Amino acid sequence: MKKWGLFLLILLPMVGLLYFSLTRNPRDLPSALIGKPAPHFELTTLDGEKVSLAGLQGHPVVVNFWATWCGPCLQEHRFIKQALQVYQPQGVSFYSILYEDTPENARSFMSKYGTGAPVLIDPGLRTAIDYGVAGVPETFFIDPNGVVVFKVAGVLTPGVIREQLHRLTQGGVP
Amino acid sequence: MTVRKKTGLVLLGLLMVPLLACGGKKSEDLDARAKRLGSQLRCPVCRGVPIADSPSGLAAEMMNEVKEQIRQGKTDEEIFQAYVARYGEWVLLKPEAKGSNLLIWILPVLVVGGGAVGIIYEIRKRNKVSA
Repeated sequence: MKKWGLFLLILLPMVGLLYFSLTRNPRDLPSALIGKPAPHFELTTLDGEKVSLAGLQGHPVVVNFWATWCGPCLQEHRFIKQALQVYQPQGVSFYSILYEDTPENARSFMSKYGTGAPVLIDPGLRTAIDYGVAGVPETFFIDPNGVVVFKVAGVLTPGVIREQLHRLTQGGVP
Repeated sequence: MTVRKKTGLVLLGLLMVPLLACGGKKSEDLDARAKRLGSQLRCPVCRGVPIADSPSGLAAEMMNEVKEQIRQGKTDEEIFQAYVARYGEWVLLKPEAKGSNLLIWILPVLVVGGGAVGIIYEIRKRNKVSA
């Protein structure tokens, strides 16, 4: 009987660990890109202007993947607009990459809820795939050297924006 | 058109047949290989569904990207690694047997083996008692 107890004592934590690992939402896992160079992109804005990540080097960059059909994206749109006013003058670039959506929808969204960060069109979701996006919203913070330093899966809160951008613009936590 | 020219054209046509057949086979092989690789890559927006079987738009674009990488001459390993580098190990439906992934491989053996040892032990114990 004691042997069965020992066997279960070893087995149960292993089964528990396996169950925990297999049922976790992959979006909750840390991004595989943290500490690595941000995947390059050269995309076009809604106005037809070309934006290249290489051209933004030397400044912190916030890349947000979003869609007009995504409820939480509407929630964070307000925070992004506020952050733009504070951090754009400090040299931070913000870009909102459209995910599984149309430029027409994005234009209607911006005219209804106010213009936020420049919207980039991602044909074939190639940039989303390069960034390992598994749903929207997802946001990546890129340092002036072009390295991904942080990823948020889910709604971007003012606290996270403040903390990450303070670290990137002034070094250290506010 | 002279008989000689006509014969030349017929021969040219006959030569084209195997070439066209090879072209068709190549595209079929590309689809089959993409399907095989796609069935080993997890759809990021589904639960445990491979990108080859997922109806999501993201999975369809990932399949297109797999085909592009095949056309670029990349090996299976290079294609898998390109996805692991961006999504992490979880994108593989059959993870490599290393680190904590070893649990997935060891646990079933441990359960079956431990159970078998337990059953044998119990049978022997009962036999001893009855004898």
